[in-house]
Amino acid sequence: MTTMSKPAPVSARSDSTPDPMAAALESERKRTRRLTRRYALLALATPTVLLLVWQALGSLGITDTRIFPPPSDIARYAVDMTASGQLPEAVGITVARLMVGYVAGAIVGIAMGLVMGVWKPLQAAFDPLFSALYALPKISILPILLLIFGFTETPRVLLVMIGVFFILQINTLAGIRQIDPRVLEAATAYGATGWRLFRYVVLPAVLPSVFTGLRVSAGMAVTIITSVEFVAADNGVGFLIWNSWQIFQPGPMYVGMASVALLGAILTALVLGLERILIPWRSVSGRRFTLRRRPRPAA
Amino acid sequence: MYSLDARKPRADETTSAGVGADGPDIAYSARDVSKVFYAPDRSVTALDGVSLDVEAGSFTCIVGPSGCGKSTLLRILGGLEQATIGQVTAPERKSAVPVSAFVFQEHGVFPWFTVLENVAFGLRMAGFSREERNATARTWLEYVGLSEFANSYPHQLSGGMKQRTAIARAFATGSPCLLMDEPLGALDAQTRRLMQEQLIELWERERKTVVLVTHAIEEALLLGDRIILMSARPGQIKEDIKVPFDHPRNIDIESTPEFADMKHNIWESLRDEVQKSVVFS
Repeated sequence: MTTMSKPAPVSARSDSTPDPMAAALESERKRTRRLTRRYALLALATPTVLLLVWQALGSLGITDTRIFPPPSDIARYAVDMTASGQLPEAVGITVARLMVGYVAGAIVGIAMGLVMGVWKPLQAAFDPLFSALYALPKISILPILLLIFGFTETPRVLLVMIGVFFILQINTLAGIRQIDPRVLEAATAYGATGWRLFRYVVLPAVLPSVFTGLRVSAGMAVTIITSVEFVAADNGVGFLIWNSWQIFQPGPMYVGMASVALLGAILTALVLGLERILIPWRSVSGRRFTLRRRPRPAA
Repeated sequence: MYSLDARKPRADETTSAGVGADGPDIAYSARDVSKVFYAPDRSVTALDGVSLDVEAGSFTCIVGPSGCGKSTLLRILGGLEQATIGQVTAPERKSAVPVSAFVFQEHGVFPWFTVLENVAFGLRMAGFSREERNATARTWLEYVGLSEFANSYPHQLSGGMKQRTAIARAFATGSPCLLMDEPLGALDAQTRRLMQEQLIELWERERKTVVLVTHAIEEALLLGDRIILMSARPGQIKEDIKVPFDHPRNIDIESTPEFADMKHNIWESLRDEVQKSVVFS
């Protein structure tokens, strides 16, 4: 696959003579942009349509608005709760727990994965244990953490951290295992050993696996903090959802659910953005796949 | 799996190569080298008692059936692999630049570095400043015709361009010896031809010691001054052939009757070995 590094200079000639190559490139560029716009629009259209259907079902009296308050009501609740400071406070608390646990878990997990990858004895000692612990539902160790640390912030943050840790440790180690030995040999042949082999070869080579772990664990972290707040907190978005259910207030419950969904989406988007910046060598756009038999004629 | 101390300096790497009082300079010398790859169920003898002297400034091609241990021999000469028994001497290292620069068949270029960074990698490891190494790398990118792709990443290049990057890196590093492991093996026939011409040109300009492993007889005849023919596994040296064509060389020598004769004879000699390697592998 040969790609030009720079787009060809468009219309270097005078304006009077039309350049067919430049015109073809321009039309291809427009086509790509149009498709990108169309897909973005579709991505927005799906939830919009679903919300409209939900709204209509409520207005027509088909669904019970006490259990399924229409989106317009939920939005009103969200505005009220934002104005009263209740929602920002809950979101702020949850975000703080989430970020501390996520970042700490990621750092420790990546570090552990790397050390296990380059030092075989540690890998032999911990790999089977970690594999077993990974399968354990994280929420099931919450009671122990509560026994040890009491009803404080520590068990909440710690549980997020543990969940993220395992995913990052496993992905980082897998990334090191997947490094092509021939690439390592090439690096060694050119004098990269020890720290420099780690810095210039191992680290960039595992980065894609690390980011896969970061993306997977972002959703996982949101799930964990929400469930922890259900049972072991008296504030935060998880508590808001659980408490609203207990006192039968579906409105705030839906606001809480929407906030959690948004949190997960934002965190994932942040990770994706960071990935684009840190892994510029990844081929982002592959060849477009189409079921159409022949490509559409240009222009 | 790998360990960070992958390349322990060989004791004999520091000893000077045998420079005969009146004979030619010897770059690499192997004495009764054997290599066994250990596996719990079945250990494989890759090389069996190989002795070889490579003259400094010569172009040597190693030809043999697949699996005959020719790549292993190259790795042992370059210090990437240890001989199980036998002695190997390589030229003395006089600067931070490694003595042997490798070109691998594939996977030799790092996907996370740009073309320029890849070509400059050896110099970077040898401790050259950014300006120095980039200037050298740019010169070599120009020689191999990749100047405008200096800032591209390997995934944006064709297979031929990636190999040219790998070759440019080997030359740019400034090592006195180049060890090439089927550098053109993965290329299509046309690109391959073009690169063979380019390699002759580069070598005639630089006159470095080159050892090139290939399975293509024409390629060995076209590029090399000497062809080492290896037997099927366990690899032994079967024939040591001098290539009579003068330098500067071009691809036209392929149409001479002498070339056809040699090609025929080498194939005759190689045929049995290929047969063996096909039957037993």
